[in-house]
Amino acid sequence: MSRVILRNFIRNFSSASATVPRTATTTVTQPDSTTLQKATVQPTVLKPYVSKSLQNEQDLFGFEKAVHIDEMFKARLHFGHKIGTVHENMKWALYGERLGVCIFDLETTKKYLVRALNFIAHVSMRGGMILFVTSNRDSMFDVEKAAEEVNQYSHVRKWQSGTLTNTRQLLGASVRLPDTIVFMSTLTSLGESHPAIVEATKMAIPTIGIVDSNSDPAYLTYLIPANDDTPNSTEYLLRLFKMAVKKGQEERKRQQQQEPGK
Amino acid sequence: MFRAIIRARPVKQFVECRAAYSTPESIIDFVDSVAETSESQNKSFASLLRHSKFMQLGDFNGRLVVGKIAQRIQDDLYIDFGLKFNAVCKAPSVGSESYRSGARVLIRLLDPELSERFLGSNKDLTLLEADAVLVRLLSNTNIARKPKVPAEKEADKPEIPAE
Amino acid sequence: MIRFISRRSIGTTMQAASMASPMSSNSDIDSSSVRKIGKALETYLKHSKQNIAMMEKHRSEFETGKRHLAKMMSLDIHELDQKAIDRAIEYLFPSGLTDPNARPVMRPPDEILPRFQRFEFDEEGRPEGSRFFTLNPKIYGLLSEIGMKTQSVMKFYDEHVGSRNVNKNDLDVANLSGSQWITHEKMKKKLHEKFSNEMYAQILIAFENLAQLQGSSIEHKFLMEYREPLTASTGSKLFGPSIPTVQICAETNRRYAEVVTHCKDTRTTVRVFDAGKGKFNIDGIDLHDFRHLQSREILLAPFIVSSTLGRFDVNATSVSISAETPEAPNRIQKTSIGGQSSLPRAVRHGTSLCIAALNPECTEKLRLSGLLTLDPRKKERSKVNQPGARAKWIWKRR
Repeated sequence: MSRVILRNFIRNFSSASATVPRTATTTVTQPDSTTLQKATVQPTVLKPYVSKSLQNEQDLFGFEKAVHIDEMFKARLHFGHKIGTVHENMKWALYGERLGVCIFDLETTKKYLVRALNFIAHVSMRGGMILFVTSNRDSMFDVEKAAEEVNQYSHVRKWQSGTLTNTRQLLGASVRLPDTIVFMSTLTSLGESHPAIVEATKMAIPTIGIVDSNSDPAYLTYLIPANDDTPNSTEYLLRLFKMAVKKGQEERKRQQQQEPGK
Repeated sequence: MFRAIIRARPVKQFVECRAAYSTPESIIDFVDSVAETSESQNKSFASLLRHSKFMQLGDFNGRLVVGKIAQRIQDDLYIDFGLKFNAVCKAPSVGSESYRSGARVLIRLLDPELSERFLGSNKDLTLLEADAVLVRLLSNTNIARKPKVPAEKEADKPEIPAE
Repeated sequence: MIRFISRRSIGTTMQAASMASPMSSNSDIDSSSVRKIGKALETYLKHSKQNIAMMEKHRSEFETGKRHLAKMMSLDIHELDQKAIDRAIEYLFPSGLTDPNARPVMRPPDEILPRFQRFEFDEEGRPEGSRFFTLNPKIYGLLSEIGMKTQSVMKFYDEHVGSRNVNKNDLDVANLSGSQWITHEKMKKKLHEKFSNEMYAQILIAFENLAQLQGSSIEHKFLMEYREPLTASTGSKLFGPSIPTVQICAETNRRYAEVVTHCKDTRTTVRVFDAGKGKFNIDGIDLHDFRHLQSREILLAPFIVSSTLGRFDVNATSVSISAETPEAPNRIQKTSIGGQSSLPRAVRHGTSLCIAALNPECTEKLRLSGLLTLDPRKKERSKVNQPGARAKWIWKRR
C-alpha cells in the first residue's frame, strides 16, 4: 500500500515540486522508470527522490501543538458505537468499553490525526486537489461549506459509480482527479463502506478516513479513529482539516513568492 | 485487546467520585459542563475520561439528564444531552409550542444508542439515536438557566458496577 | 479562470500556463522534469482542438451549401433565412416520413451536432466549482441551497416566534397560491444542466419541504424564482393548442381570446368576445344559416356545457388546409371548405378554448366533456390499385 502511495506521490508531485526549493546537490530529480516499475522496490529506495521537506521526519507545520486532547475530548471524539457493532479491525484504536459503549483512546487518535493533518498540509502545499466526502446527512452542508472555504472539492451526495474510474464516459473528457480524498464518514446509510473508497484505491489516490468503531478501515491510507456521528466532532475535525489546508496553501504562496527572486 | 477501565482503577477513586456528584445539580448541569472549558490543558486522556460526567453517570438506564433541543422537526424533538447521539422524543401535546430548539429539557435516559441484533447477522444494527423519555421542560432559550431543579429519581445514587 | 479552448498547441501548454499565471513567470524552470499540466488535461485539450476544427469545417460547409441552395431556388443569398431554407428543403426533398425528426433538414451545425462538453480549468488543471466531482454541480448546488435555507428558516422561526420585534408576516408560511413549480424542462434551461426525472422529483420534495415551513415567507423571493404562474402551463396538459391568453380589444374595450385550430381539412381562426349577445359570424354566416340541426348543436355545445349561452360573441374564419400545401404547384386548387360537420367541429374546439380562457372556472367542465381536446384525425389517403383507403375493387373471376 505505502509503496503505491509513494509512487503516486512521486507521479503527482515530483513534477509539481518545481515550486519547492530543491537542494543544489541533488541532480537526479526523478527515479528511472525501471525502478518505479519494479515490484520489489521499497519506499526507502525512493526516499532520496522525494522532495526535501518530506525527508526529515519532523512536524513541518506544527500540528503536534495545534491538536489538544482536551479539545478532542470536548468535541466528543472519543465516543464510539455500542460494543455489539464493533468492527474486528477497529479494536486496536479502542481504549476500552464502558457499559457497552466503545471508547477511543484519544492518545492514539491524536497520533493518527496529526499524521493525517500533516499529509493534507503537504498535499495542499504542492497544489493538490482535496476532495471531502461524507455520507452523513446531518453534516453534509458543513462539509460542503468547509470545502468551499478552502477552495477544495466536496461530494456529499449519492456516489455515481465510476466517478473516478470512468470520467471519460461520465464527463465526456478525462479530467484531473483529486489528489487526496478525505472521508468524513466512511459508512453509507446501509452500513456498507463508501463506494468511493474502492474507486480511490483503484486509481491509487491516497485516502484519509475518519473511522468509527463500526467502520471498516480496509483500503484507507490514513485512518483517524474517532466519532463520526456527532456534529461537534465533525465540526472540530473539519476545523482542523481546514487549518491544515490553509497552512499548506500559505506555505505554497510563500515559496512561490520566494522563487522568482532566486 | 480491550483494557477494562474499571478494573484498572483503584477502589479508592470510586469513593471519591461518589462524593463528587452526590448533589443532584451535577447531573443536571451535565451538558453545560461538558461544553465548558476546563483548565486541564495537559491532562492525559485517561484522567479526562476518569473525571468525565460520562463515567460518573454510571449505569445509563433510568438516569435523569439535562439535554438541549438541537432540532425540532414537526413533533419530533432531537435532544442533545452530551453523548454521541441525540435522543428523539415526541413533543407532548400540552404546551407543545415551548419545546423549541435551544430549550433545555429533562429526560430520562434509557439507552445511549438504540441497536439490535437481527437474526442471521453477526453485528448489531444501529438506529443512530439514543433512547430516552422526555420528562419535562427546564427552561426556554431566552432564560439563561434555572438555578436548581430537584431531580425526581435517585439521581444522587448511581450504581457502581461490581468488580 | 481561462477557457482552455482558446489555448495554443499542446506542446506549448506549459508556456501557455505560465503566461496565464502571473506567479509562475519563471521561464528558467527546466522543462524536462516540469510538466505543469497533467495527462488528463492534455487529452482534453487535444479533443477540444479536434472538436473546434470539426465544427469549423461543418460551419464553412453550411455556408457554401446555403449559397448553392440560394442559387437553386433563385433567391438572393441575403433573403435565405432559416425559414426559407426549411421550405426549400421540403420542396427539394419531399418526404413522407411521419416523424419530423426523420425528415431531411439543413440547419447550422451548432444546432444539430452534439455539443462538446467544455469545462473551466485554472492554470493548474483544477476544475472549477467545489461540487465538480458530484457530476451534477448545479443541481446539487441548488439542493444544498434549499437545504441550508430550510435550516435557516427553522432557526429563524424558533428564535423569533412570540417575540415582538419581528414582522408578523415573516413568521407565516410563504404564500405561493396561483403559481406552481417550474417544469423539468424549464429548470434544465435555468440551470444549464441535464438531470433525471428522479432528481427533479427530489428537488420538488425539497422545495415543498421548505415552502410548507412556518416562517418560509422570508425566503419568498427565492421560492418564486423557481415558480411560474399556474395558467402558463395548463395548455401543456391538453392535446392540441393550449388555452389562449385573454386580450382586450382597443376599440370596443371588450375582453376577447383568439385561437387557431383545425378539424379534418378545415383550419379556423376563432375569436370569442366577452359581454356579447350570443352572435355567430362564421365566414359571414350566422348560426341559423346552418341548415343541419347537427351543425347548430355542435356550435352551441360549449355554451351549453359551460352554461354561458348568450354571453359571448363568436367570430370565425376558415381555410382549407390542403389548398395551402405547396407540394404540387400544378394541382387544381381545392376551393371547398370542409364538410357538413368539420367546420362546426373546428369552430367548437376553438370556441371551447376561448371560453376556458375568458371564464377559467368552467375549464375543468369543458376539459372533462372533451371539448378542449383536438381531434387529430385526417382523411386517409387512398391506396394504389384500390378505389379508396380501405375499399377494394370487386373481385371477379375473368
